[in-house]
Amino acid sequence: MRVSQHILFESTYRELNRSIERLLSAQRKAASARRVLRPSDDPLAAQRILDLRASRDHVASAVRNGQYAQAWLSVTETALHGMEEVVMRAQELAMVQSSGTMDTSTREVAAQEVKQLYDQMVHLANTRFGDRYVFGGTQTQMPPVERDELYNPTFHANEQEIQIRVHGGLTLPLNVPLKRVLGDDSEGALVTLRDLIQALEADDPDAVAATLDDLDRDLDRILKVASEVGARINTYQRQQQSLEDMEVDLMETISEYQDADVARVFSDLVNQQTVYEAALRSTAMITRVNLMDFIQ
Amino acid sequence: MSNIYQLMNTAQWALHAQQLGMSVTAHNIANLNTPGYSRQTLILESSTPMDWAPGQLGTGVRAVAVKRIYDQFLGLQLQEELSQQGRVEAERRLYEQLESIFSLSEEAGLSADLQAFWDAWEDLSNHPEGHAERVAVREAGLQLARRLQVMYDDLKQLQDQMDESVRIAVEKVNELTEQIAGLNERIFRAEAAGQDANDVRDQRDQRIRELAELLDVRSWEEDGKVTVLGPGGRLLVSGLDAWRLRTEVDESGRVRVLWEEGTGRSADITQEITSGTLGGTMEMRDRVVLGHLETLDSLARELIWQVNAIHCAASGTSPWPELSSTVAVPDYDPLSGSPPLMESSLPFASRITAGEIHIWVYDGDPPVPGGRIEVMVDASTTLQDVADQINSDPDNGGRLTATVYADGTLTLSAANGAGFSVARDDSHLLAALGMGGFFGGSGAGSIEVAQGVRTTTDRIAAGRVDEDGGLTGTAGSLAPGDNRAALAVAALRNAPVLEGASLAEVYAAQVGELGLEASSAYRAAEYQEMVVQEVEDQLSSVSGVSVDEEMIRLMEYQWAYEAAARLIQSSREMIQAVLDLVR
Repeated sequence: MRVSQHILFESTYRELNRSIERLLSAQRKAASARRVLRPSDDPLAAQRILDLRASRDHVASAVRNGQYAQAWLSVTETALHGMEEVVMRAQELAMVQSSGTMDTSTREVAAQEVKQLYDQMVHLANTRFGDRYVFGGTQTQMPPVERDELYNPTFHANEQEIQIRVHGGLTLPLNVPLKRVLGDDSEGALVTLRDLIQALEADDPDAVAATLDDLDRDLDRILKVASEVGARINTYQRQQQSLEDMEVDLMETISEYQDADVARVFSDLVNQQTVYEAALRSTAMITRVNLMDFIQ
Repeated sequence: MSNIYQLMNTAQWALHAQQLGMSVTAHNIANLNTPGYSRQTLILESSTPMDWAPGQLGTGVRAVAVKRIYDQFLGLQLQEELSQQGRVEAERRLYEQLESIFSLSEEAGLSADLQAFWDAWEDLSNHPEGHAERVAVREAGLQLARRLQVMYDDLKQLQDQMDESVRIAVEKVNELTEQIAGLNERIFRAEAAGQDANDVRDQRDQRIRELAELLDVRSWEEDGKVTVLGPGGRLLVSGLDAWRLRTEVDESGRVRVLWEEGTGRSADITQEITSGTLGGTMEMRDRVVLGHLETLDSLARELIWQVNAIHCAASGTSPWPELSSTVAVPDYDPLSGSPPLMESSLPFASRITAGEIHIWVYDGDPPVPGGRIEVMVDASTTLQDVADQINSDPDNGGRLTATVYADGTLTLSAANGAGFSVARDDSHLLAALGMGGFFGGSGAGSIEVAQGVRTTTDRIAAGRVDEDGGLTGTAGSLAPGDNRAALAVAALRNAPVLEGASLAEVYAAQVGELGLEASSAYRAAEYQEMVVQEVEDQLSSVSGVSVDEEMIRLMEYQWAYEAAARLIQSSREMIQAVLDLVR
């Protein structure tokens, strides 16, 4: 083929350009450590990356929800254990004071202690997690229970369950309605404690003895709810573990799609640089000489 | 008759021819890098011999013509390939711009903003009492709306930019066709006078090539005049005349290309242009960019609708004192009250269904439920019907007044000290009217966080009214810890709302599709570049100037010139010898 000056210059220019373009692309990948920088770098991977990131964010938010639920439930559990102890102490007092050997003064002292137990119970029922009353149902901004001077309880709590999303579209109840723990203003732990106070103050051993059955029932209720909450915490912990594993798996998969193999990218970069240098060198050689150099 | 003078004459012609040859060589060297230049060569012929006694005697050399070395077939092929290149190059450049709009970045992309928005709602569902969570939801909403708008604007700008390049290209076409017609004339005149119009022909070929880079072109030559046909076989140049193209803006704001027939009439040839920069640009504008705009728009539309459908039937931390529709019924007629809302021109009219709206009214602070107003919506319900049902409901008791204004808006306002909350709306009418929605607008270009929510974050509805009181003990109560609406919005994250896919999946699929199109466009452009270079090299191999070659020519002519000069000297010496004889 006849080689014109135009072919010579155009083709060297073209080759130089092509080789610096490849060098630039390799340099970008090395600098960002990413394999896919634009959708066209690998369209299918680009779509997968976006889908996987959405899944990862979804799982991550489920993990956050799980952490929140666990903390909430731990606070609930602690409060329930406190309630158990209150009722058990009341049982002891009622047992002792129902015997005929006790007298007015011991019953008065006992009545004082039960009053304290009552207030402790109210305090536990009004346990807060952050700015939310955990036993209030959805009425989280008002103390779930209050008492008057005669130790009659007034309940503000409602029975609505607060749902929290665990994973996928699945939601689980977060709170325990107070009614299931302490009953209401006609029967339940607080009513029993009130009756006990009244019986002790009236110095009536039979009436004191009569509260023992109710206290058994009240303790059973609290224990049942506490074991339920304990089971829920376990469920969340197990789930949490698998969600965290899933999050890590997803991140690894995303990395496989989007991140560059560093060793390969750098060897590619070095390779492209060598090619570019060679192209420069050959250009310098070929453009330096022509016939004019040799004729005088 | 042969004599010494004849010898001198021959030498003089030789000098003349070699000098011409040197001029041609000089011209070639001077145009070493002129685009479209074809090397020229001097055609020499031996001159007519004389009949003489021993036989015919040569009389020297004559320069007969200066010809350009050119391959007509390769020229046409190059023209065709350049047309293809114009198209794929335009597409490549535009795909590069599109790709920068649909970023894959983890920090700044629609995908990330969408996830952040759902995350914010989920956090609100975990703490519906919170102020900080509400602010976070608003900020995430603002960011998402802004992102959608920016992307929409970028795509629109890209379209405008493409319109501008169409205008510029059309001007260039007119310039080129006029030049080609002018060059036709020069060539015709020169060649009628027996000259070879080499350089002018090169110029004309170059102009036709430039024209081919812009749009579909077919050309042929007759009597030294080239005829150029444009897209759809329309005449662009014939003989000494050029036809003009012009642009016009159509009703959708896009620039169209028209061919002027010359009698004041013109034909729209937008669809017929398939090659060149013009073809590529308009194809991208009308198919690709428009397609991405539409996908983005439907994504934004669905986002607005789905969030609002939940948000309009939910409640913030306190009841509304007053609420106005933010979307007016555009074709509302104050005299007749028509049209029925389902048939109106509301952006979301087609999504209104038959159903019930429950509005609870409250007294005092803290609000105490005072009753439930029920509105029935069916195919014939008009805006006035809605207002009438609210005003005449027995449970209303003068607490809530609904007013329809002549501009097609509806306002609900509570009496002093009273308030109201929407508990249910399965007709989705309130969402269509933009009453209590989270987002305003109806597409990617108009999406915004609704004014009410933006200024008062307490209006962000996380909870729902407990309608029957089965759980809270009081029908119509609004518990601060109720998170049902927030959960419902957060659940949209994975909900298959757009043709069986979630919004995030729709976007990912759009990015994937763009990537596929772009990478094949880049490959096509790269391939076409190689094809063009191949043909250009072939043509240059025939027509291009080689310095080495010209140097050799130069030496050749120089030696020949020196030899001819020596001939003249010899003749002169011979004449001198003859003169000396006479003396």
